[in-house]
Amino acid sequence: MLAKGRATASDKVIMTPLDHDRNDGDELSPRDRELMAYLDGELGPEDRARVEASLSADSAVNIDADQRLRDLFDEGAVETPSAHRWKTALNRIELGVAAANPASRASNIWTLAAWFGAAAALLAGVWLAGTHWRDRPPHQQNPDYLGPVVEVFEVVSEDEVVIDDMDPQDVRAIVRGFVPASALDELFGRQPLEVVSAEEVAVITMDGNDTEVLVVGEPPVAGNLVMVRRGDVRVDTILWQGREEMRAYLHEPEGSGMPMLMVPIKTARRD
Amino acid sequence: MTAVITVPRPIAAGCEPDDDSLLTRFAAGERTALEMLFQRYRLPAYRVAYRLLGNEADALDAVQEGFVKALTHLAGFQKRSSFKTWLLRVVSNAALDLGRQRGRRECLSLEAAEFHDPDLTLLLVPDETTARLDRAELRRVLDQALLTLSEAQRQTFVLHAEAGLSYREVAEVMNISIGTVMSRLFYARQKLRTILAPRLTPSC
Repeated sequence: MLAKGRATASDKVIMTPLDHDRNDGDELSPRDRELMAYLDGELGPEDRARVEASLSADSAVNIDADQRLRDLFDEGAVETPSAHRWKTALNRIELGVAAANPASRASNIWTLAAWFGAAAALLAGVWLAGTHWRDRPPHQQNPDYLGPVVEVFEVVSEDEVVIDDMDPQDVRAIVRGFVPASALDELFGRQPLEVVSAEEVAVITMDGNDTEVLVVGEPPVAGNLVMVRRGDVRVDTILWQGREEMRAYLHEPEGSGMPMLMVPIKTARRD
Repeated sequence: MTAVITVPRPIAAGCEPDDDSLLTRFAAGERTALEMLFQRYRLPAYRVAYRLLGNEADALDAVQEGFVKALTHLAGFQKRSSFKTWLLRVVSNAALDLGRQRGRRECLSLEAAEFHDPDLTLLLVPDETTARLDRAELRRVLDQALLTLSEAQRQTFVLHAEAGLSYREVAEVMNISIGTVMSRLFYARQKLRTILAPRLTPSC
């Protein structure tokens, strides 16, 4: 907000000659500086009284125009996001802080334990799947079918994924999960992140920085997704679908506090 | 696995912890400290980011990125300034970076705006008054007017006007002198008054 009178006496501007800012044009006159500091509430009580005593009709016109500009910005003030969006933002910050702190992650023995547990569960699952192969429905006997909807998403860093090509015609997904830091152990091992269909999401934003978790699957996006690693896929080019700001899919299931980022991509398995 | 549930500590009215103690508690891993810092500074950070980017989604992205960077690079903070100015420095820089990445128009000249931008041409129609614009439309007009400023002027103006930073604080955030802050504010307002002149005419 454009507020007046925010300065205290100790914070007042000392009226010294202006430091010339060569990038911004001519030097301000001492009178301009004084009036501006007065309007911005930057003057101490003495300077403020002195300026008020010296105001002329001309300067009053300038002050009035300046005040109208402030009023206009007050009138068109920025609207505050909803409580849900604030909560989502806080969740993302918590996750971002946790992700940017490798020391705390490395020291989290429970995370390592969760990884070992997940690996053991995966091996057990593969063994069980093999023993029950003949009992599976026909569509699951496809050798490319690697399992049901992912139960564990691996969080990978940006440099673990190569994005070379994106084609919205081939609906597959990069999914980025945001969870509260308190639920990180679940992210790493137990609670699956939700996979949603393209119809459920709105296009918000997309860039390479959003690539944290890579999941490939057949359309519709929901169902039959498999987790892949960098070595499994190659994505070639991001296409913007003819729009200047083609954005990724951000899905925020109401009340889940677990928004998802999903973009259509074309993937190719590495040879 | 044993679940640990963190219960927020009750805070007595009038005993709000200062930023330093919150940062200490944050460094110790206390989740509520981060939450309190976010509650305290999310609004000025968002206002700055919004005015620099012009839409809610991008502004929230910049706020998130700014908070994460500010909180994970506290070594660069070194308490030479307040946490607020440190945070707003990071958020405003993140917003400017995001704007460049996402193709926000920069440094649109007033002349170009007058003759080539239909929105700004509309903005110069003298008969229109702010009373006829709803707030969303007015925000759009103000955002476009801000885009005519140089990046340095815009950042200075927004930090002062939207985050309520004093000259001295803006100078700290941008690592410039107070005189430069005043100069940039002066010329920013001068330009805004020119562009927004039809809106600034008192209605009778």
